[in-house]
Formats: sequence, structure tokens, C-alpha cells
Amino acid sequence: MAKVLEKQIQTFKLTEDEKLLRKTIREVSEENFKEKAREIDKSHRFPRENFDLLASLGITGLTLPEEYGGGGMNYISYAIVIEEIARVCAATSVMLAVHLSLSSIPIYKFGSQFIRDKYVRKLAKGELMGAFCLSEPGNGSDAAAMLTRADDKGDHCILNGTKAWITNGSQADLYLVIAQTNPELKHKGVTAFIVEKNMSGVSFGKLEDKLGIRASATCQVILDNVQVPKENILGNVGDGFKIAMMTLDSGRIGIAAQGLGIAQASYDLASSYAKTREAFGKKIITFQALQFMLVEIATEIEAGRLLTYQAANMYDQGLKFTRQSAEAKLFCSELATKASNKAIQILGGYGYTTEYDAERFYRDAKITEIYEGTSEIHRIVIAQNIIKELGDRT
Amino acid sequence: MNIVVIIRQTPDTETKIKIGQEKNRIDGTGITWIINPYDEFAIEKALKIKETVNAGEVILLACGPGRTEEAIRQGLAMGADRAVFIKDENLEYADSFMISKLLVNELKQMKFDLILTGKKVIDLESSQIPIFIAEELRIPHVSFVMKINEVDAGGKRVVCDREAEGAHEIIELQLPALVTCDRGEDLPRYASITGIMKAKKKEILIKNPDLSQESRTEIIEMELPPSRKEAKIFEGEIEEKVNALVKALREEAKVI
Repeated sequence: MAKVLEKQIQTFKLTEDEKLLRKTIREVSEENFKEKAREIDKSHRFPRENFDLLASLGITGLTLPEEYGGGGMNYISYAIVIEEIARVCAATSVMLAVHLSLSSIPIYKFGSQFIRDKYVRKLAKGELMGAFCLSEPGNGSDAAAMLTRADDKGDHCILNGTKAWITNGSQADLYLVIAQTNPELKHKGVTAFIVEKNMSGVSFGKLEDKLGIRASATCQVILDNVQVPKENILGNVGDGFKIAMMTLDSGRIGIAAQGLGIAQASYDLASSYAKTREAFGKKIITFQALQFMLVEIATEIEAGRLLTYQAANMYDQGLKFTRQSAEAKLFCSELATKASNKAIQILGGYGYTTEYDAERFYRDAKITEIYEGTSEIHRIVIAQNIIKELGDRT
Repeated sequence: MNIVVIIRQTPDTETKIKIGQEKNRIDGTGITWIINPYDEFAIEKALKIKETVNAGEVILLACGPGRTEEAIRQGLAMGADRAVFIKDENLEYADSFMISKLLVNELKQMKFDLILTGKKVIDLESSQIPIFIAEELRIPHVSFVMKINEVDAGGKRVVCDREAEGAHEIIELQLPALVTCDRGEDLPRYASITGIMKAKKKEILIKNPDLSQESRTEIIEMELPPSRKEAKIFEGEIEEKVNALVKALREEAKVI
């Protein structure tokens, strides 16, 4: 165990490529996404052009293998990219996170040769955008209680049901849909399908009007007698629940990184404001009450980043990382809300207006405590793992 | 068509420079280092030429301390083919003369048709090195080029567009030649993911400098420019403002 830990800690010193990646993605984000982030939040506009720019730089295929047109980079690089984009536009970061870690990667990882050849290169190049459909109106984190059905018709299945809260919904080209193929087996009777947007019977509900990440498209995906060829089954019939859970395990690292980016943005804004704003004849950063707020956020950002890199690194090394990714996601998402809340406090009245970004960060932060598993679900996941580990020792 | 691009690593334009303990050095802590922006324009122009003529290599040439490798890697990730790096920690404060000499020694051993570099470096702003190199190599040069209009695929000549006092000068040069680059229309490309991955496999040839070649000038002391006084803003109706301004110019600034 000590050896494993040592190896992990060593790799937290970013490699030259990872540093160059961070520098590049920071420049790309600041020069292209920052200025419009507030406007697209206000107008509720999905910035497909941001996705296209990321595609032109190969970022839509960042962690996919090079033989399929991807970048072949590791998961730490993925965390870096999501954090840097979230630092200026959380909506853009979740668009990429869902495309990559919740659809492109599982489609590659669990896909047959047929599926890989047909879809993965196009996903890597950003010619296709992906989405992930697990939640339903009646169930979110309780994934095994789903109602969407897939009936076996020989060479194809017929899908019926409604999927809810789908990020990139109506905008994505491919939907990784988890559906029930054998209700008696409960979660063991669940199967994963690749559904194309233009298949007959696929339609979308109205765009959800959300508190935050308003430029991200969220809507219901409605499946009405959609005929999906059996070649589009991911893995085997009955593997759906396992695929979904494994996908969410690694997906959480993206949301942790997103929370981290929002927290960092909040800290950057609050600290630079505190350095220039004066009260009672002094810069407000000289007041200890304010220093303590900044110190707490700065320290927790460091901690959150290490947790996130630890989880990403364990994933890269093929170690079991369910507990660590849940810890990173839980910690960083709650940190995002806390840091943006403090940023508003430090900016005072200005922080409460749309003139500054603090209020947007606060609205964007909240969702990170909810999607891809609520904070409560993560506490359960961590507890289960802790209990299991305790059991192993006795 | 082989193009050598000479690059230097400089502090980021947004870095707040602080003078170090020794008065003739800057404080290196907390500095973000970047490719000198004008050298980045030169890399972009070189890559564009290579794409147009579809032949030859773009070779980066740098002279400086170890940290410079970061800038070289970025250039390789943008698309340059390989790099030659004259590396030594003692080069941190080498003067234009010494750096020029070292670069010339290296260039004499390289095969090139065109040398591109930035019109100036944003740290010490001396703008001497490119011209010195052209003279030493006895090749023609042109400075402050916005755009390279034409490149002869046979490697005989280039035509450059140079901005000069509100006009454009179109200049034709026999190759080999040296051109210093201004911004122009082509903004430097971002390093793509495949670029970053490919850069790992590209060669950076490290050369040890001949340190018998010494600097001829020495920085004795540096000081920051005085901070600008806050602007005075006059309030009120236009007439009041004009009167107040005239009064201030006459009585306070004493310029009229």
C-alpha cells in the first residue's frame, strides 16, 4: 500500500505535457469562452461553437485512444481540462464532460468492434456529440427502479420510455440509453443501447429552465417505439447497470474537476476584488475576517485538487477508485457552493448583482452537488466502501 | 524550404516584475514564462509557409537557461518539426552580443533557407540580435514584417509586406535571408491535443555553449519605472470642465 501511495504522490507533479495542456486550455477558455459566458447564461443559449472549437483542437477526443482519432491522454489531463473550462464557463465544461466521460468513453470501452468503428472516431473528432440517459422522471440516483423498456424483436429492440434531466439533450447526436430488458431480474435485467438522434420515435421535451448552468441544454428524451438494431447494444444484454455504474464512477471525476474550477474562479474573483476594494481607509484584504474566508477557500481548493488528481491517477493505473472518486466529487462540489457563496459575501452588494460573476458561479455551483449522484448518494457510496474495507481487515 | 525560427522565453506580459535582492536581477519567483509573443508570430508564419509549400522543416532554435525548454515544447506542439537548444543556466543574463554569437555559431552548422524571429523580445527590448545575426551570416534581412506574401517553392526568394509609417513596403529578398516578424493577421494557433502528444516524440537537440564567448555589456542596476500619477477628472458642465482644465494646465502643470 505504501508503495502505491508513493507512486501516486509522485505523479501529482504534473508532467510537461500536462502543464502545457493546462496553459493551452486556459488560453483557449479565456480567449474564447469567458466573454460570452454571462450572455449565454442570460439568454439560455447552447454554445455549440464552443464544442466545435474544442473539437478542432482534439479536446473532444482527449482521452480516447489515438487509433480512433483521440488524444490518448490520461484522466489527470481530463481533470485539468474540465477544471480550466469550468473556471470560465461551467456550462461549456459539463457539455464536454458528458460528451467524453459519460458517452464517448463508455461507448469505446464497452463497444464491440462494429460500434467502435461506426461511432468512436466521429465522437473523438467532435463530429458527433454524445449524451447519457439514465435518470427518469420518477427516479434519479435510484437507477435500478427505471421504467424505460426495451423489447426484444429478434434482430432489433423496441425502446419505450422517458429519460429525464439529460445534459446535452436535443443537442447531442448520440444517446447512451439505459433500458430495462428483463424487469424480473431488476438491475441485472438492464441493458445499454446507443440511440441516434434521428432514429424514428426519438423526441425531446421542453428545455428545463434552470437556476444555473443555463447555457447547458437539459431536457427529457422521449422514446416512442424506437427501433434500435441489436448491433447497437453496448456490452451484453444485462450489462447495462454495470456499465452505468462504472461510467458514473469515472464521470464523477469530471464533476469534481468542474466544482474545483468554479471554486477557483470564485477565489480568483474574490481575492482580486479584496486587493483593490477599500473600506475604512484600508484595502479590505487587510481585514482578518476577510483573510480567514480566503484562507479557508484557498486551502480547500488545494485539498480538492489533490483528491481529484488522486482519483484520476488511480483510474489511470487501473486501481479500484470508487471511494476516491466519490470523495473528490463530494468534497469539490460542496466546496464550489461554499467558495462562490463566500465570493458573494466578499464582494458585498456588487456580488449580489449580475455586474460581477460571483452570482453566476453560485448558481452554477449548486448543480454539482446534485447531478451525477447527489452529495447524499456519495456519502452512502463512501460509507459502503469504508464498511467493506473495515470488513476486509478483520 | 527549411525554416529556422529563433525563439526566446520571456515573462508573461501580465507578470508583475519585481527587482531581486541583487539590484541587477529580477526576482524570478512567481513569474509565468511564455514564448516571446513576437517569436510566436514568427512560428505561426513559419508553419503557414510550410503548409503552403508543403515541403521542408520548421526548426526551432533557442538559447537560454533550462526553463526555456517549456517554450520549445510549446512551439513543437504548435507544429514545428524539431528543435536545437543551446542550454546553460549561465545564459540567463547573457547580453545580445553573446547570444548572437552563440546563435551564429549554431546557424553556421545548420541548413536553412529562411530565418524567422520576432521583431523584438518583450523582456529587454533591445532588438539587436536578428540584425547582428544577418550581418554575421552575410545574408539579407528585413525587419517588422506583417505578412509574408509569397514564397518561392524552389527556395530562391520571398516577398514580404512591411508596415512603415502608415504605408506598406513590399520587399523581395533573395534566400537565404532573415525576417523579423510583427503580429500581422495570422494569430498564433493553439497547440492541439495531437500536437502536444506528437511533441513528446520530437527531437530537442541540446547543445552546450562555448562560454569563452562572453557578454560585452553588463546590467549594473535595474529600477521599475515610476508609477503613474492618478488621472485628474474634472466634473460638471462642459464649460466648467474646460475652464477648470485650462486653469489646471496653466497653474498646476504650468504648460500653457
